[in-house]
Amino acid sequence: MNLRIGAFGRQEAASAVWIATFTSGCFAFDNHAQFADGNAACLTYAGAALLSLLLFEAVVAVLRRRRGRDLLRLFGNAKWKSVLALPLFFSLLLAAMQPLQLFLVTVTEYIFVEARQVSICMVLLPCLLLLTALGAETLVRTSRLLLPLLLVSVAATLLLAVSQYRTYRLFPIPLGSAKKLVAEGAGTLFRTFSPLLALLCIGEGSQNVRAMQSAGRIGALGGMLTTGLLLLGLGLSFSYVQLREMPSPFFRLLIEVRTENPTMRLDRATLFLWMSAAMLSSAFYLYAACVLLAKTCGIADIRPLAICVSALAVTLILVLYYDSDTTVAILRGLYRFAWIAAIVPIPLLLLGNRKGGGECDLSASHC
Amino acid sequence: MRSFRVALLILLLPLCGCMHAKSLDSYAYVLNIGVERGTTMPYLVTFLVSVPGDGTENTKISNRVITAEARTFSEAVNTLNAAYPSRLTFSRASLLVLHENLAETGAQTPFLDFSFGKEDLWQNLRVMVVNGSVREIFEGWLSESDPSLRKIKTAVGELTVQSGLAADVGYSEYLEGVTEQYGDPLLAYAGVNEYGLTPDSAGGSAYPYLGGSLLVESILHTSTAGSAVFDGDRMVSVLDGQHTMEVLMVKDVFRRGELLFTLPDGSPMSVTLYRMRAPKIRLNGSAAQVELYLEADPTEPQILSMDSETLRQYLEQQLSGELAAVFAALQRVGSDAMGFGRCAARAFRTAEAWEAYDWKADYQRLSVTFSVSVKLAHHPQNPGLE
Repeated sequence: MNLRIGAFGRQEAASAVWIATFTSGCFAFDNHAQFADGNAACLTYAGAALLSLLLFEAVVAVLRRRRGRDLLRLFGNAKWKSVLALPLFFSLLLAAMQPLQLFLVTVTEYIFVEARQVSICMVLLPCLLLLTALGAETLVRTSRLLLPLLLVSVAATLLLAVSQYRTYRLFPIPLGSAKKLVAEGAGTLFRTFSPLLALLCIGEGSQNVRAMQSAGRIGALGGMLTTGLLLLGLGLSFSYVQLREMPSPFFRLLIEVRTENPTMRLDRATLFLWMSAAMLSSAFYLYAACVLLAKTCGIADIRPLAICVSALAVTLILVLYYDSDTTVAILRGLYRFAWIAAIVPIPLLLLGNRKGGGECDLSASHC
Repeated sequence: MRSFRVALLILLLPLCGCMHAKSLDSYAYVLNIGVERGTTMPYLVTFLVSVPGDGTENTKISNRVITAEARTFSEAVNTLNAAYPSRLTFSRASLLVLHENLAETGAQTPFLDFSFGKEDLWQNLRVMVVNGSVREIFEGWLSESDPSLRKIKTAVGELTVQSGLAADVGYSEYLEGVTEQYGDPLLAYAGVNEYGLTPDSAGGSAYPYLGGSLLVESILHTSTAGSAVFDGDRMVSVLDGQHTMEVLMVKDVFRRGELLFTLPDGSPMSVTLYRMRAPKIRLNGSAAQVELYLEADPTEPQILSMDSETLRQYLEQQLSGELAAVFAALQRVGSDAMGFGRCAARAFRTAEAWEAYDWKADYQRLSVTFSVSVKLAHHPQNPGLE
């Protein structure tokens, strides 16, 4: 077996979840959908975050009872495990594509404006391949190194933009339609739960379930708080109508800062950090998806799988640019309902375990 | 593993970042962008460009004004790139200037509807309206004694903005004012000193520059103060510096500024006003009440005849009257430059309902009561703090 999960501590795992939660929260594939109901985005994000944590706690509680260390323990020997693993795999793939797509948009819109998307992807792909193939230990330890810098950059961005904050931009506060809020919250649930799902997939590398639970809590809460603050900063800086049309709102927040002092122009340095975070979280999701697939299908070496899945993610991103609007519409629809793929299998697994099904055979490769 | 690494190295080889590299002195940095009506094409685009020297003592950084007629922004950039020896780059652009005759018809909107990102333009460009030829305006800002970027920026931006006489509005905020119902744009207004003046629309006798006193006679030949008032994307009137300050007070952008009042005997009185706390605005149907809280620092000797309470009440009354006159002038031209739309948005509970609402129709029926609360910092008869 060469799954390259390795071993990591609570801080490392929490950092990886924190970064993934932050990038998934900020880099939505469809800004129009995210801000469809104005600044309700902040409220729905908070609700979805809370639900994700509850779901994570439920899974961990079952794992502790069954003395398992990762989500795969819940699959057991059930014949329908691949049926449940497949939607989870696709939801992780979609989660990985989100930051990658934003990476591409930001770089082509603001940095290398004359470059074609395929050229950027040629740089993106080897980095992503390498990161994914190196495995969980490399990813989470790199996350631990990047997180403090990322937090400083987010704090600096929010503080530098203070002069342009206007509370009137938060109005109207859309609390009128509960049905819309629930629908929007369901869409956001996919983005808030994906980092925890990825952690559950690679939980085998953590010291024990308690460490994984603690890392998930810290990472998710920290990431959600950072994302919430950034969303609030965006809401105070731009009207929701502007936010719907912005290709990379977070980068716009950086370049909106009006200062005559060139040392305060942190846009490029900050962007570098945020793009590194996007790349790292994409690799984190892709690696988790690969582990899920490898364990379910009994694949011994994760590297060929990592290369294929990374290439698949980058190709799908490129298809967005080189195919018709239909592809974009299909992907938008997929993101809208991706929460079904990410969430629905979890209660089924929990219920299956409650009834005593899915007992794990310890001699099997996935245990 | 070795073959994997070799394959990776081969993949990395064509990714050399130095391909198509350009040295820094092959770029010309656009500092200001100006747009006005063209003669053969719809737009005349003017750039104030900073060209770096080649490093020798005789070739310092120089600023030049270049123009091109075009239909779109990209066309102007391409035309000038083809004709100019250096490649234009917009990463240091900080000012967008719209000519008055373009802004009066809203003809700048199709032009500004370009992708800023494609030219590496920052959305924090300061936006301004001018009443002279854009070339003259840019040349007016260039001083032979100090042609540096800092001097231009200081003269145009910081001084006028810090004195409270001009509205400091970025491109993003301007767009928000044009496309949304939170309030109409109010942009800084500039002109060449020798150029004819547009009268203030609120009925003052002052010039639109420099708070209504005198046209400046300085080393820079372009003055900036007062504001151009918009109804959506169309410029509808001009306010002088003092009236601009009063609009900014309601918008809670004002921090400090010197205002000129007339005493009962007709003599002028100069008072420096400071913002004490945020204004309170209550909107109830078609009636609004605005409460402003200011601190006054009167320094003129003419007020020695008044006691503190009389002076305070007099200032409150004068300021309330001026605010009502400015609001009436703005309402007449259909501009919500004071931003009452921001308060209207609070009553809505869904984005759709707010977007479907026609705020401007209700704005025309709005009646506003201004109440100003002034605290005197000191009185010339009693130099200590009260």
